[in-house]
Amino acid sequence: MSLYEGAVRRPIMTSLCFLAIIILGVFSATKLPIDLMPDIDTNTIMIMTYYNGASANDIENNVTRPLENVLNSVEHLKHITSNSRENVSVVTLEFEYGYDIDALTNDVRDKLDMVQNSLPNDANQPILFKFSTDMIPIILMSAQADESQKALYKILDENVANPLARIDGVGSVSISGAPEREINIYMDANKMEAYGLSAAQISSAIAAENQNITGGTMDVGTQTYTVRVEGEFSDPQEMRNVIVGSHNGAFVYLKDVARIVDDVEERAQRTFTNGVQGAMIIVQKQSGANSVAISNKVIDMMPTLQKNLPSDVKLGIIVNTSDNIINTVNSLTETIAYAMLFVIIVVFIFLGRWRATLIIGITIPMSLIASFIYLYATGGSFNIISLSCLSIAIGSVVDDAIVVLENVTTHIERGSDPKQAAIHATNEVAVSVIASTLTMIAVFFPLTMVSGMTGVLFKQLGWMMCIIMTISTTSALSFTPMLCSQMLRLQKKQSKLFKKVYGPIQRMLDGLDNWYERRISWSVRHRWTVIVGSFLFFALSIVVMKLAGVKSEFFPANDSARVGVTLELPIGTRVEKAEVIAKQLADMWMERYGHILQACNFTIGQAGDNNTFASLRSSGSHIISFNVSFCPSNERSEGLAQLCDEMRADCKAIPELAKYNVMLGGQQSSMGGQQTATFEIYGYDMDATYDVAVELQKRFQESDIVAQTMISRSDYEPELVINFDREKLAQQGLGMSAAAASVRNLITGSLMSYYREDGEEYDIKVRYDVESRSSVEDIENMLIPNGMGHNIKIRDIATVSESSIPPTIERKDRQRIVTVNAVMKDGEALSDGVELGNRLIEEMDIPNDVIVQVAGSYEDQQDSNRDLGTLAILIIILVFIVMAAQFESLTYPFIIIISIIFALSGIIFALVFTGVSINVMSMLGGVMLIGIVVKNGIVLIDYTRLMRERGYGLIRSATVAARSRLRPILMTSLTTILGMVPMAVSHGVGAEMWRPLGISVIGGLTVSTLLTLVYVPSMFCIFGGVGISNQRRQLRKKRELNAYWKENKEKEMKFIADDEE
Amino acid sequence: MTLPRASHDQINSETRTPTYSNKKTMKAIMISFDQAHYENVLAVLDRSNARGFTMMEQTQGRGSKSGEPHYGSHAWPSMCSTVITIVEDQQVDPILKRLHELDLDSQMLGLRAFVWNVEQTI
Repeated sequence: MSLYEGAVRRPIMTSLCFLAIIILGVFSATKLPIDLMPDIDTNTIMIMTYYNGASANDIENNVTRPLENVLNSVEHLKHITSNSRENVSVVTLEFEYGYDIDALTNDVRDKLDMVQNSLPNDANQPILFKFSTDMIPIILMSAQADESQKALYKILDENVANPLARIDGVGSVSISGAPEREINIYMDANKMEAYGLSAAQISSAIAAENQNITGGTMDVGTQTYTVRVEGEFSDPQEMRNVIVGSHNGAFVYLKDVARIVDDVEERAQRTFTNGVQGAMIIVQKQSGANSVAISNKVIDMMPTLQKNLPSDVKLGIIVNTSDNIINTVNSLTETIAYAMLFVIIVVFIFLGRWRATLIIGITIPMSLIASFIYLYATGGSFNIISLSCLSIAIGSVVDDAIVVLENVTTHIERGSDPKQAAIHATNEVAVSVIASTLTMIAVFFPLTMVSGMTGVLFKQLGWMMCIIMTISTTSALSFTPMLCSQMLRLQKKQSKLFKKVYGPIQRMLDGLDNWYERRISWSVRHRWTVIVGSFLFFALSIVVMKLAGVKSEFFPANDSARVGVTLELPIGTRVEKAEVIAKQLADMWMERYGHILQACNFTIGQAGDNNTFASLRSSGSHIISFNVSFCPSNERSEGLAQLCDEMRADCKAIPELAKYNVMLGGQQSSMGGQQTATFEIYGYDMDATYDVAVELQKRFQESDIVAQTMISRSDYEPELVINFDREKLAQQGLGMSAAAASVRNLITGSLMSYYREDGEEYDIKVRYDVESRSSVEDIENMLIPNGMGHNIKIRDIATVSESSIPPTIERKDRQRIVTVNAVMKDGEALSDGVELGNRLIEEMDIPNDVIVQVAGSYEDQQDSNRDLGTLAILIIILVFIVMAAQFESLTYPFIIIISIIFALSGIIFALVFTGVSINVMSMLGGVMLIGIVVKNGIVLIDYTRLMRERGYGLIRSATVAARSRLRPILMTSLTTILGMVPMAVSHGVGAEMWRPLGISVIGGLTVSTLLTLVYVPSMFCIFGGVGISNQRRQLRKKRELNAYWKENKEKEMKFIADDEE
Repeated sequence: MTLPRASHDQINSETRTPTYSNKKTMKAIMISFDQAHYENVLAVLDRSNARGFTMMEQTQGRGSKSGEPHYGSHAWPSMCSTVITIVEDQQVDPILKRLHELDLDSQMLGLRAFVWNVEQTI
């Protein structure tokens, strides 16, 4: 018993089997996490090596180079970049996507062991970091405060950060912008000098006083007591009376030489949200955890947390990354629902039977739901790719069911019993249904084998489509015949309403059939005109592409409603100045964007050492970083890129700013960010490369398509250098390191002891008062103890000079490099930027040993273009094989494969008319079209061939087949096209990501369907005609040969006989 | 209804010595029809008390005038089935009548029956 016969005979078993699949699918769907993109594995490993005291140059030569040389041989390495700066070398290894990072890490570790011996002796063991997207914070919360500002860190740490960190999946919660409490002891330089005291004396005195010491145990009578000396301070002001030394026989108390300030750390970041000072709470997730789930839990918890806070502290959300994800996924789900509706309407119009439409309506969701099982089993998620895949699949899953349904209907109309009709009709079309599924699989299976970044995106899509197609075919061969046998009846009488509604549609379709038959009958008689016309059309599209210029980019920018802005004032600018500028900008933006702004937060100042979030990004007194979040993209008319451009204009208008970087999406990334043309300038001579970079930047800024440019190399940082005279040091009995440590203690402060309160420890920092360390003279006047215990002034043993620290030395692929990034204005394409850059570079006078290269997202784009190109060829070959096997012919597949070029024309026209750029998404559409376009050709050729086999003439076969297949072809094409329309026109959140996909499929399929309908019958006739004349020629030859044989039989026989002798 | 008769036949064939000459006239009916008629044709035979038959489930053929070929091929995917049933004289008419009705019901499928004499049986 075949599959369909079994299914028809056992309806209960069949329905329950598919019900089970649906239940499993729905169950999986409820468990599936939501994300923006499929999980992209980490592909970066960072190696940090500390070598204290070495300059950037030394680090480069002695640490970075040996490391690079050895690590360069690790397998699957894509790029090796490095940063060499004072004291530290950071080597970053970027691998090809899709390899097991753990195995690679082990390889790297092995190589590190090898190189260990060739590193300088004083260099520390290299530290290995795996870098991943998990480090990007998922939620930024704000806390606004008034009078609680000073204690904000403690309040937030206890009441917000700790409870949040207990949420399952939360990796770390850090607080930034709220300084921690610190007990500052500010020494008066003059008094210290007068009393002859040194900073070390004071801090060791405090450390010695501030101690609890156990004195052992003592037996008293029958009891044993422990003895303890409690010396720790219970109030910071107790320290005032600590005796720090003696002068002229009198004690010197701490209060005599210093003031004790129980305050917050001196250098700290400050955060302002919507103009009010407060703090920022950064939530990072554990690796592998789902960000949407965690964000939801954090948001749920906020009201409870708010209750426990003092009344003046208000929690808020600055950025919630999951908002964008949820909005995007929701709007995509909406387009899928619309697609399904459109498809069902198309099916009803063409089939004209509500029962048949219902059957199709049941089978669509079933195949789609089944794919959730795959997603759940492989740890996938609902994301743009997997949901787009569903949207694409809707149009294709109906095809198989429609073919079966149509044939069953035909059989029923011929008088078969529905049950018999279901079995025999399915039997008849089973082979062609399986063949058409195989062509789709031939298209989508290769997608699972793409490498690189594109591969990560398409792997899931490829597998999902293969699975959906397989399920839909299985269901078309079992579930659909079963439903047909149960639900379809011979319509003996139609209701009046139905006739009234459907009558006009019927007449229109019939009219269309007739009109089309006349066109075809003309075109097969003028086949060469048609063929030449078709190819001219293709040529025209190529000309249009060349003239109008289709723009290209790697990945569409994602409107995540979030902007990150980093502003740099000239290095060394005081934080107060930064605050003024930041406030000015924030006020301006809050006023202008008030109606669409959700939060405007900025942070200024130097980050402390213990702030994990801040340590990932640069901070300094001259740096201002903004986090701005807007309302979702469908609630405002301005695009995010447009807003970014406006903000850039504001930044440009402030002359004090040395650098500004407005980042769409909040961070720099090749995917989903704004189009950025990256130019890499290679060359050993730092000055030469920097000059080229500056020149390039200048020229870029003059053009009107570039919004901002950035040079990767930082400026020289100013520094004060203290040069100790070794002889003088020796005379004073001091070593270099001891002298340096003393200076450090006076400026940064010495930390010898902690103040304990309520189980928390706070630093006690002893250092000079601010007024005594604010100029070069102050440093020269600083007192440090010499070997004999006397204090000496620094000016006596050293000179202080102003200088500057050379910038970080960046290298990529073992060569020194500077990168220039040019961010394109809204609406300008990456390809134009790269072209402009190349032209500018051409015009520039570049020194011999400096090489400029295009890199970054353009490089990714080139890689993915190459991958997709290879993929397209592979797919075409596979599809050809499937078709050749089905038709047992090489001619027919050839005719059909040629029709793919019309899809290309369609895509070109669609992109030119809509002004959308070619990117990964639209190319994906193109690749998919191969399968869909070919299907139309197959249907047409198959039926024409059938007519030929039934003995019809060539032209008649072509016209009859074309007429009879018009509706099925229109129906399958329209289901796919209309399935894509919601994607192409939607204006929901994230629509900019999938719009190119929709547009290219619609354009390509519309044009190719229309052209295929006239091109294939004509081409069939041409090849058929050639085939017939070949046959005739062969027959004629055979006949002539036979006639000759009959006439000259005797003579020829003799010849043969002679031969044999 | 068919059961007692069947057992009667069985007893006869076992007890009687085989006759090679035909005393009681019997007719052979060959029914050739589109596969889709399978169940209907069996029902007709049952209703007409024609118990014995030989069925060839997959046969090929085409009609003399307008009957579509049934080849099971790409061009002509449908197939025929053929039943040969040997019945007594008086059963032929009702069977043919019923089959004709069936054929008229769905002319597109095609059903033909042919009757000839049975010369001898064992």
